[in-house]
Amino acid sequence: MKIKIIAFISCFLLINNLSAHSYSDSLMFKPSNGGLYPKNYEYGLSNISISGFYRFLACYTSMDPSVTHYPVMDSVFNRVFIGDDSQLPQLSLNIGVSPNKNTSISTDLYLWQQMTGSENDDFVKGLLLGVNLYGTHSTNYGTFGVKTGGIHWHKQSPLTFAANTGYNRFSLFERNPWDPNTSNIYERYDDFYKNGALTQDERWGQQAFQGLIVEASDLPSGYSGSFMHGKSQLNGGSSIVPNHLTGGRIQKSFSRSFISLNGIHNQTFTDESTTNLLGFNLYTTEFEFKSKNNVTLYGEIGKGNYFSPTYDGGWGNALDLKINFEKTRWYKFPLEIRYFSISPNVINNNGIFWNTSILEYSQDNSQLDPGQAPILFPFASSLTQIGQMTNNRRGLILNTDLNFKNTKLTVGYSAAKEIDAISNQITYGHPSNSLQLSRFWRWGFPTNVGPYENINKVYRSVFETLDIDDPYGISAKGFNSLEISCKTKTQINDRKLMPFYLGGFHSIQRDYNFLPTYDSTAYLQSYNHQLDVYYALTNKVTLCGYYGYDIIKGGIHTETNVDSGGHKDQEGKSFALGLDIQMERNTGLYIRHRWMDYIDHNFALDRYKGTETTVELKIFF
Amino acid sequence: MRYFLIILFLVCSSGFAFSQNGKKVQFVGGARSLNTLAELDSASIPKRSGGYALLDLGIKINPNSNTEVMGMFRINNEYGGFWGGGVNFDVRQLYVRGVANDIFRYQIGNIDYKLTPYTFYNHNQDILTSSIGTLGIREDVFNYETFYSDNTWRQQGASLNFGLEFPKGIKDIEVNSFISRINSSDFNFVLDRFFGGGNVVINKDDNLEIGLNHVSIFDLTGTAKTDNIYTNNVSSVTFDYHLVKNKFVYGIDGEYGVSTISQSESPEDSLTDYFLHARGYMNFNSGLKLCLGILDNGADYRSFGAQSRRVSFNQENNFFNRYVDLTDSTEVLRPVSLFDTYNDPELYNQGISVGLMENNPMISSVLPYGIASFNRQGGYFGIHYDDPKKLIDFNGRVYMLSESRGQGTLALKSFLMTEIVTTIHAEKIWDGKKEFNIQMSHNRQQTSREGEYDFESVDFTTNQINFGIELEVIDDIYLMGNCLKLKAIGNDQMPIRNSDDEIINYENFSVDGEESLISSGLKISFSKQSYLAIIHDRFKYRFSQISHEYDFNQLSVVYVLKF
Repeated sequence: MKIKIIAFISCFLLINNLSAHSYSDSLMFKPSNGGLYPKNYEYGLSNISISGFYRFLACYTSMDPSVTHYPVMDSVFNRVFIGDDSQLPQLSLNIGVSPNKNTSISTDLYLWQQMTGSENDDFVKGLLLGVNLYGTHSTNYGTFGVKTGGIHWHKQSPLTFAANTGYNRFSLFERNPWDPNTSNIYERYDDFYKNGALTQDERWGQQAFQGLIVEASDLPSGYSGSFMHGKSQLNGGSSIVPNHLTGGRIQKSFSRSFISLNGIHNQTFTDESTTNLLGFNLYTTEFEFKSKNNVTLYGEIGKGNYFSPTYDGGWGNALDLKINFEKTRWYKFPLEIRYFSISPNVINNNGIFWNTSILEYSQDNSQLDPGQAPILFPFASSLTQIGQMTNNRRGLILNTDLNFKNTKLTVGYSAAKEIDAISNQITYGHPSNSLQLSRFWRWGFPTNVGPYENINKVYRSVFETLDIDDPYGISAKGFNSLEISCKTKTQINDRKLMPFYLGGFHSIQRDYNFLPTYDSTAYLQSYNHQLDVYYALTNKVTLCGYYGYDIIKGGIHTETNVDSGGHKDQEGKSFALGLDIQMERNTGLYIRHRWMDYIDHNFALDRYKGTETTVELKIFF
Repeated sequence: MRYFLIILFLVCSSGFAFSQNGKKVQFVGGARSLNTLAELDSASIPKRSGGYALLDLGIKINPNSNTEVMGMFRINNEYGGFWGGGVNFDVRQLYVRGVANDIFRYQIGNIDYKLTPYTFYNHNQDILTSSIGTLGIREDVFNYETFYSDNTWRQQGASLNFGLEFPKGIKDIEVNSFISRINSSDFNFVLDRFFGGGNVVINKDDNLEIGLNHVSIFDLTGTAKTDNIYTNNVSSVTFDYHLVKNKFVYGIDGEYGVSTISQSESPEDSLTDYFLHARGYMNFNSGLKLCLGILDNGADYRSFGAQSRRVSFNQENNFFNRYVDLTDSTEVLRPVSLFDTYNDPELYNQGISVGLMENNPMISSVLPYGIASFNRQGGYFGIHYDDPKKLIDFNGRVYMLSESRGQGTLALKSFLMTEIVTTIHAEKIWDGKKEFNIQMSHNRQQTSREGEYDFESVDFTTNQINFGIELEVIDDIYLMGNCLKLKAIGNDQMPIRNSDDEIINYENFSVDGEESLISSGLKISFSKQSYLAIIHDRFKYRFSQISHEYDFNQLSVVYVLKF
């Protein structure tokens, strides 16, 4: 008998044929039904998309121990650190899978080698945004998109759920982790000069959100909307006690305008028995009307409240109105007039304003993991950049852009006043060396640090707290700010040269003044000058320079030093040089070296002096 | 040579030519996100939220047309973990498979395997009827998590298969073999334990198929400081003979075999018994299918490859595992309920368990280990109807069984189980384009025993009712609802076993109560393999004789995506 050995696989075809004759249960005893499964081969996807970047950042900080009273991490004065202040990784991969046109999955993977010399624990791996799932569904009534899973970037309306975008008055000298490589190394500065802004990634103006987001577009009659339920960064953490945020928006669009209704509700519990609710509500309407003669009225108006077992301040109003004139008969440049008023009872740290009014349930942030910030992070009365609003404040903001031959000037002025007298503290920043100072504390976001325990670290910045000691008691303070940004360009030896100047002149005083108070009766005066210079040495090499100088003075009714008897009298200086080198397409090398010197003439321990050197290699793919 | 060429052609045209599409790397897997907000009225933390988003990314690499290596990573992102918090990386599966010399099919690593219902089989003992609606989504999730498909068990081991074709007499012979490791040695008192076996399937022709099967769970001598070798051998013959006349199929099939279980240091405790299962079936052209069967599973029949349960009820819940006894304010363990078996994939067993796993008599008392339950004899009748017009599916079975050996008495327990599942595709009635599916199922189990003494008296009845509905309101958007109810009343004498599975006593089990789940939801299908569902569950536990009563509410958002 002739016997042939055959591959077993062929028998599966036989099974399939037989199964057609009998129902599934009868296959149970069919001898050929056993064996290895699955019987049929299933093909997978041929492609997934992978993109991302490699960003090596080495930072060497060297402080002069003879005068410096700010230890740089671990109580040393010289430190090598591989990584950024925000501990962003060296390698970041974005992985995307699209099984079909309606669905997709994305995730990211980061690898961070700290180069500590340790063989075992040197590599850090993880996800930043997590696992994200997307789906879309088109119907006759509109298109519906769903996002679930990890962190999604989402915007609802400025007051309810968005990030402040400001007025683009900032220095470009220090590079951010999210800054792209440009096809031409000088393009970044060219763009900022031409457009007054940089191309930002999808995070710009949006907030991180985790949970469920449903977006509806192309609904009948120009309607659209969104709904979200889950956690913002401020609800994060692994506690099983419910802590979540719910929001929604319905928008009606017209040809040149829109109007929307927005709502946000945040709630958690102060106890494990989940009986005592803590949270806030905010409901607004946002609108924009554009006239044919280039006048735009934009606004958002709403009501909000904060509730807790021990606090019921009732509902308060929130108002943010802007009128933009492209140019008028009497003023030939773009002008924005903005008025805002946010009640101390309106709380929402997910919007573009900070909370400065509700202080209860605050926590020591330094003990929390990332994403576990308390529901309401309270700030004292804050000196903020123009455009950054806070609650318990109302004010007027003027912004204009003045363009001359080669010079572009943007000027902003604000005069604001607190609504209620709540805090006897002021918080403010140090623009010249803020990023470098924040790098003194590499891990977490510690509060009340520094030689006088009045420094609080936030993301890539610090703020300092000043106590007010006013014999007339706590007042509803007045805030004035003037900010100037001047960008110009010229050529030296046929090479581009761009100096960018940034100036800020602020005062905080007891009462409202339309004009700033630049004398010692003000609680705080803050002046800062920052000058960036970018010179194209070649098409692939740019020389960068920076000079920063800030002066901050406490007023006569503020805290004094026990030893000197004087008020805060701070002076910060910074000078830096750098090189941008384009190595290849999408590959850039960025070197920075900074000399910094800071002193408070009346608080002897408040002093540091030293240098910081960074080397960044960034490759996109 | 002619046969060889024919078969070779079949091989190349089948799906197992890995590089058929010319791609050396393929990606398979799935992703799922789940967010829940739950409330259990008497828990110390009554309201809880949680969830996760996970991605299973499998990479198939085909180094050549007959070989495939597959590794699947799992990335799990805990709900609430921002910027890298709460992230876990894991490996979900890894294997290599291929066809050697176009003859031997092999797979090493993770294998999904089964043989016959009495030797190696993953019976579904507790989820008695497959559901539609919200419960169907739950089943989809735990089946994916546990790799339960086609009644296979996932094993870590290797398999080798090949076939022989004969020109005359016998059509072909298939040979299947496998070996897997159940546990590794602790180098002290636990030996390396393996599970191996296989079968030879003889296809006489298109009508007759005979299988010779053998499996063995065994310890490997010398891998620990003990010589007490455990073995569980099961050998069986399976058969299927059927005839086809004008698409009318009728035939008989079944399995007969013996099992032994022993430990080398106590041969006197060895157990040997037989099992027999035979049935006849008729499949009519109209879609009607009938079967009539008998079974006799010996009281000492042990086959842990087929008797491993999916869920052990001797474990703690992972979710709200404790709650407060309101009578004395103490925290007590919350028993695993029928709803938990839908709600928590972590309750499921993912491998062969040597030893008898604990069952819940309120959920499955007649066949607690599926068809492979020991100490059962009797007959059953089944009817199945597949409407050619797709309007209705009907499946009904009646089991009339008894013990073959009395437990604690000479009197035997009698068992009666009836099960009916009806699915109606109602849109067919009015030729609607949008689906409207209704499913009703009922499972009734009755255990009784009479005797001279009170302790012999057993009268225990359970009823499980499941009603599900799916209504497509807009294209690919469904409203869903389920009502699941479990009622149990009466008493039974439950054996108490020691660690060697020997009965050491009996305890009276007496209940009169119910569990009920009302569940509703909305599902949006993005494609055949991906959907988003929002589900609300309202569950009531009312078995006060077991533990105190509670109410449970849960809102879930689940997104399932496979590729």
